Parts: sequence; structure tokens; C-alpha cells
Amino acid sequence: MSRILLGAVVWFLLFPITNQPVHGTEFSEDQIKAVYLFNFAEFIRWPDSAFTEHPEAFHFCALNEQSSIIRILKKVINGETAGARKLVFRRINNQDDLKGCQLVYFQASEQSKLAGLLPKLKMRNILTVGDTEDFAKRGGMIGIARHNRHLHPVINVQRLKQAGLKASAKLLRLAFVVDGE
Amino acid sequence: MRFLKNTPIRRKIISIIMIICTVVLLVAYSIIAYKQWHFRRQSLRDSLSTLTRVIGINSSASLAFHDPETGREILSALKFEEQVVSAELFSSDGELFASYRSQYSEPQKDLCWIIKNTPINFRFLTPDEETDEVEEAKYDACYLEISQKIRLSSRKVGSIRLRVNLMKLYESFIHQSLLVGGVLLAMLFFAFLLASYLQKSISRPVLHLANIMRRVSSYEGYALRAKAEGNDELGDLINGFNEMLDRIQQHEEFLSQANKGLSIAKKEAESAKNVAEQANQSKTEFLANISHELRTPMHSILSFSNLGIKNLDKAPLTKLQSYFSKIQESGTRLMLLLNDLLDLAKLEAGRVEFNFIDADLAKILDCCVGEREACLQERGMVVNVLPSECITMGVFDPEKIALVIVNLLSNAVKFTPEGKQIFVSIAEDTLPAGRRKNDQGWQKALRLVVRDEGVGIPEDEFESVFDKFIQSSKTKSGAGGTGLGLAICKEIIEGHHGRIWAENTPNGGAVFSFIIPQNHAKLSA
Repeated sequence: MSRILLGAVVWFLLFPITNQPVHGTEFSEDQIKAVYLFNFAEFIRWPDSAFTEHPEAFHFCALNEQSSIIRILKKVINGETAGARKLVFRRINNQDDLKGCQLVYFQASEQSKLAGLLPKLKMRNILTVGDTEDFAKRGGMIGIARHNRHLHPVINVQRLKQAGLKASAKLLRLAFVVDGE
Repeated sequence: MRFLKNTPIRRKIISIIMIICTVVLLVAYSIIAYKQWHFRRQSLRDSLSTLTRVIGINSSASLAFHDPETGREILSALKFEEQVVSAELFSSDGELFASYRSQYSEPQKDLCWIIKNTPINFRFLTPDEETDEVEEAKYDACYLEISQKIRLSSRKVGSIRLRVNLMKLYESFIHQSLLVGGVLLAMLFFAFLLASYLQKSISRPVLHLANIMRRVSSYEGYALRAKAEGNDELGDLINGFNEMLDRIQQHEEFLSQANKGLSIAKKEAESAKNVAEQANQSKTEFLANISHELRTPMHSILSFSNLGIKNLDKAPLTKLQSYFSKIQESGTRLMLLLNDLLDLAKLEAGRVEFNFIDADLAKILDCCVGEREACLQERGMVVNVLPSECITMGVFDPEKIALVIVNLLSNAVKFTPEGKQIFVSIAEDTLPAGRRKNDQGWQKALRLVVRDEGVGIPEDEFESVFDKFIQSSKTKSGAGGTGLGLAICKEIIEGHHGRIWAENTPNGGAVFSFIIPQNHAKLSA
């Protein structure tokens, strides 16, 4: 019940109508994207070995804590859990070891930084999510595309697999699946 | 059960069986139908619930990722389930997210209206609403609606609502009910056939018994018996009935025997009465006769005595002589009569001793004929004694036998008109020896036959002439004789263990014969 309330409050009061008139109530793109991030924690499976550092938490990581998406995300995940793990946000910087992150979000402007971080990502069970459509082709795993006012996830399943992650068929069903190197 | 009271037993038994079968089957059918209805309804609800859940789970991503198109796509898979009328996905705030509507599955409005408004309260068949933590189910006359929350982990991402048409449920239920009903009706018919056949084991003996009873009562008699078929109570009934008839029949036979005995006794009594009456009659006649016979000579004696006394002085000697001779005659006659009576009485009382000695029958015969000579000459009759070719010696009482012969001769004379002949002969004959039936021996006997040429004896009197006091009806009244003569003869002959009888000759004359054993002493007693 609290979740419904939370959802309603978040969507209605805190953020005004944007250009996304989905099911009557309009949500902003950022709102939707934040929810996407939230939901990726549900619909993608991380192996247990990904949680050795902090087994009790699931970490969302991003470079810019102050972006609107991240702010929304922080509110959304407050008090929530994925499975038994509580959801937590952590800010990172270029030099940081990405250990302890399960999901790393790249804003459109930050995408260039991806290339630099790739070696750190290797051999780690980290999901990389980007704000752009071609993120999944350019080295990332999940991008977000925008068609006809609708947002869709774009998933590079191979890279996901290489990182040891598994995406639920339910997610794959509504996502665009792409190949990349 | 009064309505069955007067029906015939076959229909009664069949009716009982059919009523039981019908009631039992109806009750069973109702119970099963009720259970079936609930089962089907619950099955439908369960399967719909599962379907909803599956769709809901599959739609969770589309809801989570705000992808109504995918949601619609998932819902459209419901087109393969014919009963689904519509389906809706709602987001977590209750707004419609995606929907599906079937083209085919709308039930007829009027049918729904009928079901809704039937006076029978279907509530007990279908509840209005059932709610639990997981889902909400709403029933309508025509629809079932299930709503479920869609969750990811523990948070609700939305809800799903499915609406299903109940027509198929009703149809298939009615269809099944009709089918089972048809089968039950067929079974009832079969039960009827079986009952008709099996009731015979009870009704047949009963009807048979009733039939026999009816026939016995309508005077077919007590010889009928019913046939018992089995060893049960009906068999006992029939056996008891037969025993009763046995007893009745016995009684009846006993009664009819008694009746016969009674009528025989009655007849015997009657004939004894007749005999007694006849004897009485005869006795009266005899007494009348006797008194007449006694009185006549007595009269004569007295009157001639009186006459003599009166005319002792006046009458000539010859007249007196004639008076005396008349007196003597009458006296003699009286004497004879009295002697006869006495003899007969003595013979009857068995107080006569027979004097069995050697004697010659032929000589006795000659004597008797000689005695009667005078009488015979008077009447111009001749006794023709045929010579006997055999030994006429024997052992008998000569006096008594002489008496018999004299008697027979007198009768012959009496009943033969003047100028005719009388034939007498002696011959050999046999008599059965011994009184016991087993003795096959015969003994030598002598037969004496007296034949006359007179009027004969009426055929029906052959026996009765030997009775006491009986005289032949052909006797002239007042011709004399006491009617005792032949009776005396009979007593004498039978005292000799012989036989005496009478016959007629072809010419009309009478034949009297007697046989006596030649050697009386050799008889075994």
C-alpha cells in the first residue's frame, strides 16, 4: 500500500506533467527513466558473487549525483528492496574502483567516460545503463530509446551475458535487442 | 399407502419398486447435480484465476516499464479463450493501462435478463462476491469477473481484471444434466422391465393360490391342491392351505361315509321295519287265520255236542253217530293244528332232537304216499313215484323226513287240479361238505323232488313260501292249511344241514326239491 502511495505522491506532487501522456497521468521522461533503473534491479539477475563486498545491499552507482534522474531515483529507491537487498545509491568518480556497484548509470554527456571505465568493468558483474539509444551498441549494455513518445529499453544481451547477468524474458519482450562487439 | 390398497399384487410390487427407484434416483441425481454445479463453477473460477495470474505475471514488465503496447499484446492472447469477454490491466494508481475485448463472447442479453430475474433464488447456487487477499471474484447472472493485483517482489505494480462469460458453464451443465437424466430415465425403464420379471417370484404363487381357492369355493370340490414353488413363507402358506384342504376333504369323506352309513342304516332300519311290519302283518293274519282255524272245529265240536245233548232222546242212533264222528273229525283237525303249532314252535326254539338213524328214503316215501292214498283217490289224482336208480339208504330222522314228504305231497295235492299227476323222484346229488368256506370237499346227498301239474308258484314267492305264516297268494282263501307246513319242512331239512327250494316247471306246475346229506354223521361241524 505504501508503495502505491509512494508512487502516486512521487508522480503527482513532486513532478509536474511532462510530455509523456501514458495512461492518463503524464510522467516526465526522467521519472520514467528513474523507474526503469529501479525496475532493472527486478528484472535482471545478478549472481551471488556480485554481492561479496556488501551482501545486504544492491548499489546503484552514477557519476553525477545531482542529475534529475538520480535525484528521482534516490527518492524512488528509498526504503525499497530488491529481493532481500535494500536499494542504495553511491556516487562514483573516474578513479573509483567499481567494486560494490551492481548498476552504473551513464548520462548522455558521460558516455565518453565509458570507454575509460571498460577495463574496470571487465570481469565484474556490473550492469551499465546509458541514457541514449546507441549506448547498447557503443560498449554499453542497456540503452534507452525514444520512439513515438514512448521509451523502450535497448539491450545488448551478449554483453549482459558476458558480464554474467541474465535478463528476464519479460523485460526482453518489451526491449529492443541489439548485437554489438 | 392407501392408494395402493386395492391394486392387484403385480402392480403393487412393481409400483413399490418403481417408486423406490424413482425417489432414490431423483434424490441422488439432485445431490449429484448440486455438487456438480458447484464443482464446475469452482473449476471455472480456478482456471480463470490461474489464467489471470499467468497473464498478470507476464504483464508485470510491461506495467513496470510503462509499455502498454506490450501489455495489449499479452492480453490479446486471451482471444484463444472463448469464454473471456474482456480483460484490463491497471497501473498501480488504478488507471486503465491496457485492455482487450472479445469479438465473439457476448452472451445474449435477454438470456441474462431471464436468468437474473427468475423467481428461483440462485444465490445459493452462485454467490455474488468472493474476496480474499489474493483476488476478488464477482458473479453476475452471465459473468464472472476476477481482479488480481500484479506484484513485483512485494510491491504492487498494477492489477488485472478478467471478465468471463458464464454461458458455456450453464450450457455444459444443462447438457450434462440432460444426458445423465436421459440415462437415468433409461435405467428406470430397465428397472421397470426387471421389476416386472422379478415380481413374479412373489405374485405367481400368490395368484396361483388365489386361483385355486376360487376354484375350490366355486364347488370344484376339495380334491384340488395348490402347488408350492419355494421354501419360503409363501410355500408355507400354500402347504398350510393344502393341509387344510386335506383335512376338509377327509372330513367330507368321513361325513359322506357317515351319511352313507346312516342311509344304509336307515334303509336297513326301514327294511327291518318293513320286515317287522310284514312279520307283524303275517302274524296278525296268522293269528286271524289260526283263530279262525281253531274256532271252526271248536265251533263244530260244541255245536254237534250241543245238538247231541239236546237230541239225545229224540235223535236216531245213526244221527248221533254222525254227530260223534263230526265231533271227532273236528277234534282231530284241531289236534293236528295244535300239533303243527307246537312242532313249529319247538323247531324254532331248537328244542327238537333229531333222531339220526339209518333209514331208507324210498321206503319212507312209499309210506307217505300210502298214507295219502285215500285223499288222492278222492281227487282222482295219481302219485307217480319214479324208480330210483341209486342207493336210497342214508342217515336221517325218518319221522321228520316223512313229515316233510307228507307236507310236500299235501301241497301238491292242494294246488293241483283234479285228474292231474304228481311225480316224485329220488336221485343222487352232492352237497358241499363242511361249513368252512375253504373246504372244497363234497359229500354224497340224496335229492327228493316233488313235481305237480298245478298252478305253480309266482316267481317272486319262491323264497317266501318257506316263511312262517306265509301262504301262496294263489291259495284259495279258507282252503285250509296254516302256512306253517313249508316252514316246518324248511326247519327240518336245515336241521339235517340240507337244502330245500321251490321252482316252477315249464308247464307251469310247481317243483319242490330237497337235498339231505346221506351220511349226516360224517359232517364236520
